[in-house]
Amino acid sequence: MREIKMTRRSFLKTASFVIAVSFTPFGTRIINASENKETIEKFKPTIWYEITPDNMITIYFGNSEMGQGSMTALPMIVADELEANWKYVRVKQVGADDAFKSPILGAQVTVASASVRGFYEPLRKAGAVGRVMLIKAASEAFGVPEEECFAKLGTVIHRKSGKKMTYGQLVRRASKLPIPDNPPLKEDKDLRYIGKPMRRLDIPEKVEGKATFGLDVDIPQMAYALVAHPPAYNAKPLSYDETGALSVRGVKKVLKIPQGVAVLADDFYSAYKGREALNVKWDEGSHPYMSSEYIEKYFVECLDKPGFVAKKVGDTEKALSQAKKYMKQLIMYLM
Amino acid sequence: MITLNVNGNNYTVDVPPDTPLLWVLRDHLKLTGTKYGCGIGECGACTVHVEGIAKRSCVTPVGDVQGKRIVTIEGLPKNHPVKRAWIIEQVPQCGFCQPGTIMQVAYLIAKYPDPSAEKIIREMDDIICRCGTYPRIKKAIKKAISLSKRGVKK
Repeated sequence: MREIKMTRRSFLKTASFVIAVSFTPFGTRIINASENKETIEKFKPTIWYEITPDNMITIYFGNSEMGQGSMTALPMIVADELEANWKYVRVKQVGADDAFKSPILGAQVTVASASVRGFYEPLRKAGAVGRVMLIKAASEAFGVPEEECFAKLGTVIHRKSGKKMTYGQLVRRASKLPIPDNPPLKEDKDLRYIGKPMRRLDIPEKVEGKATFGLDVDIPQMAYALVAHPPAYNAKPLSYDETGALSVRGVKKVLKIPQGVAVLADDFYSAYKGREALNVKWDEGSHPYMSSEYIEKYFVECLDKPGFVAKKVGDTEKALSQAKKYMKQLIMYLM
Repeated sequence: MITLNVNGNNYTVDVPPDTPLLWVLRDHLKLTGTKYGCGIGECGACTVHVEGIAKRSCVTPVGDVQGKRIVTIEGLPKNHPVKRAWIIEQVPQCGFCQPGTIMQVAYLIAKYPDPSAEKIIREMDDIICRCGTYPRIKKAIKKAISLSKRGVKK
């Protein structure tokens, strides 16, 4: 078994405050798990997952799934070390929580291919912790040495007798054990999910229309705001019809903010109609000449000025003079 | 007051009749599977069925669809061939446009069980996916057609 030295922040940090966002057909409900009165029996040795008596393994995901697949990639790492059966793995999005910040970015964001890079070692270790504890729990239940037991796809098996217990059956016993500091990790050859093409965990709910996107978040008494943005750099509103916007049904407030003029309403469409009614008149801003045409003209002019040599290979002048065919074309790259 | 029949349920909502169906579904009925993309009927993210026909709900005044049968992504059965095909072919990337895309395809194969390539392109041409999942959408349409034919044979 191979060991990975943990030098980063503790992966075992137990969250005292977990916000779980669950998906329901009627939008997002935010559940404060620490205030949840229902005490469901579960084995939760780290913040990253919990196992319940029904054998389900719920893995918590603190990044954003925007189509890159991290909502599947990170659970794969946990599930592999935990020796979980993928059929019983589900993923749950968590809200804003310092414990879920990326070890390499120091923030809870999904950028720069940092999800797997940042969480690979902590999550492998977190998964290994659970596997080691479940094996120990089963060996106690069987009354045999720990070394004679091994984990396979959500079950602990006693090698000699063939006795088995599922992870779900071990929840209570495992919860009482001390959490190991340095659990051994799997050998690369024993990896089951890492490096394999897996089906994305977020796809079924996206196909059902149940995934919660930013605009789908629904909090009781929430207001919707739309902002009238300036049409030119740093343009400021000279005038706008606040009374007109406020007379639109559902509009609650009009606010001048550094980015423009915001209209707050009970629902999106009322805010939209309110913004239409604002009829903002803007000054010309700090760069009134700036336009797509101006930028294009500027770039084309730059082509005639001496440039910066990034790379030089061979004799271009000579090659061009000897070329059989010469083609000139201007291609604008969208900026 | 506007009375709507959505996914087999009747709802009464207090909104002006010119309110787009999209916002009634999302903000009043909390059926947020139908997405807001462009708001001008150009992208297809808001597609729902009205009396079995694909409609862009962002430009459909709610007053025009009173009493008509409206079906949203939430109302399309879970075992519908298009939903199954979408999972088999792992179509969604970010997934935002997919409910509208699925509703458009469900309409397409209901109306034309064996559509020609040109027909598919014509019906799907104004459905936009910013992630560019078009190659998988094409595969999944073929899969959905074969799944629904198999369903008919049974």
